[in-house]
Amino acid sequence: MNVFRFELRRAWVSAAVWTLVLLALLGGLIAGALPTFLGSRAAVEAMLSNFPPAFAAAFGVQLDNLFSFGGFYAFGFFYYSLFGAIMTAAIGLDLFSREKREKCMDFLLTKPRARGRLFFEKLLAAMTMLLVSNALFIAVSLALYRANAPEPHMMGRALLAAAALLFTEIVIFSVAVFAAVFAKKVRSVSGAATAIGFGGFLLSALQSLLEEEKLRYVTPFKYFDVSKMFFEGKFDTPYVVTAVVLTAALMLAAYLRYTRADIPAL
Amino acid sequence: MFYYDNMRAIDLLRYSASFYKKDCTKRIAELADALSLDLNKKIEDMSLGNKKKVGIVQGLLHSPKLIILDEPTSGLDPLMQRTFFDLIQRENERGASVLFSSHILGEVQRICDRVAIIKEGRVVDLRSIDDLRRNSYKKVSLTSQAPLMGFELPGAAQLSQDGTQTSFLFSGDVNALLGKLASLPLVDANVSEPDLEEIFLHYYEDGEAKK
Repeated sequence: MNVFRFELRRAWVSAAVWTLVLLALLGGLIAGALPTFLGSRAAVEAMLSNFPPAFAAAFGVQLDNLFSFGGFYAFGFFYYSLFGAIMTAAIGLDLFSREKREKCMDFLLTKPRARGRLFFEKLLAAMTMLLVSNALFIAVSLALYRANAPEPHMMGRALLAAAALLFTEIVIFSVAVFAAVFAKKVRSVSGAATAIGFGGFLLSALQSLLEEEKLRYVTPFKYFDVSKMFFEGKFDTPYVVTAVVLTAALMLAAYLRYTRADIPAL
Repeated sequence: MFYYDNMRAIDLLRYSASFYKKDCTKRIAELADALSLDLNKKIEDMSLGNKKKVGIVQGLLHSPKLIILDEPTSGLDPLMQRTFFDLIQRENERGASVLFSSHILGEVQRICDRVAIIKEGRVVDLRSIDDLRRNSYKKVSLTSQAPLMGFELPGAAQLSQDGTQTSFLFSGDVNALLGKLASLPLVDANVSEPDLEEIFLHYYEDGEAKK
């Protein structure tokens, strides 16, 4: 498992930094802003009445449920997803295009290790980082829920709602891995990761703006509806299925490509 | 030669060694020592020659039984070339089979058992070194004060003269050659070994002529 350890050692710092930023945002919004927000309900509603609902939705604001922990969490979630997506895309791109970027594919691929095994070890390293990051996110989310929600009874739902970030990130991860393996050149990991993260973010905003339900199939950020989980205790099945199928297809394609493609001569 | 960014040589070599089931730490130290390679330096800060050395250590650290090298000493200074071929010879004595391509005739003659010539992707001849040595010749080119008239020397072939320039191929007792040269009024003399290609071409021409 030397490749696993190698990749982990090289990438964990960046993942840790992103996780801290994400947790700071989460903590800041909930612990910092929520009490004030709930207190000034009238003022906020007055301000929001000036915006058309679709426009407000583009920013993650869903008026009917906003003034509750779940609603506010869902609002903030839109932005946590952005950060989480960029972090995940960066991990996926970094690990799976490392040799391509640093022009040392012939170093790794000439070792007595099957390519499938290399892919698997890199995947494991990436998953480890994602799981640790999300474990922290879930823990902090639940702690904040206990501390700040008026009646924190629904731990199960809160847990799954927080886990929605992990699920969304897995989808984004598969997009990033696919891109990393199939791209001819990966010039900048952070640039491409930001593009993927923001791309998903903007698609979601667009979908909210247009209020077109069918578009939800192409917006990874909306496959797992956090407010629905909080208020109804479930995710929408068609979109969950889409997420699973999309992830599986992208990862399978990436795996096949990684294990079979010829590497170009330098 | 490209490697991962921001890695010291020792880190990369340890990573490389971790793919094999044996402990290569001693080997790495031995090889780096023999090649005068500073393992604690970052690879990207190294000269091409040093990067080449990292590649050589990487190739040999797991004591492979078969070693195939393509122009392994290009970019190395002559001293290092000699050190490298010594290393290869030691590996061979340890039981490894070595195949390498080279244009450094001297070293090839010194350590190889057999030589193959490849032309247009095919092996056109395969000879033992002893065979080669027996049929080897020297290229001699002389510049004299005045055109040499009636130049004669047993063992000289393909004599060509152009004013004060005389050149020929010599095979035979080198003492006879030197004796002859000492007796001539020369401005400059150049006695060199042909490269491998010339030997084989010569060989072939001879072979064809004999037919």
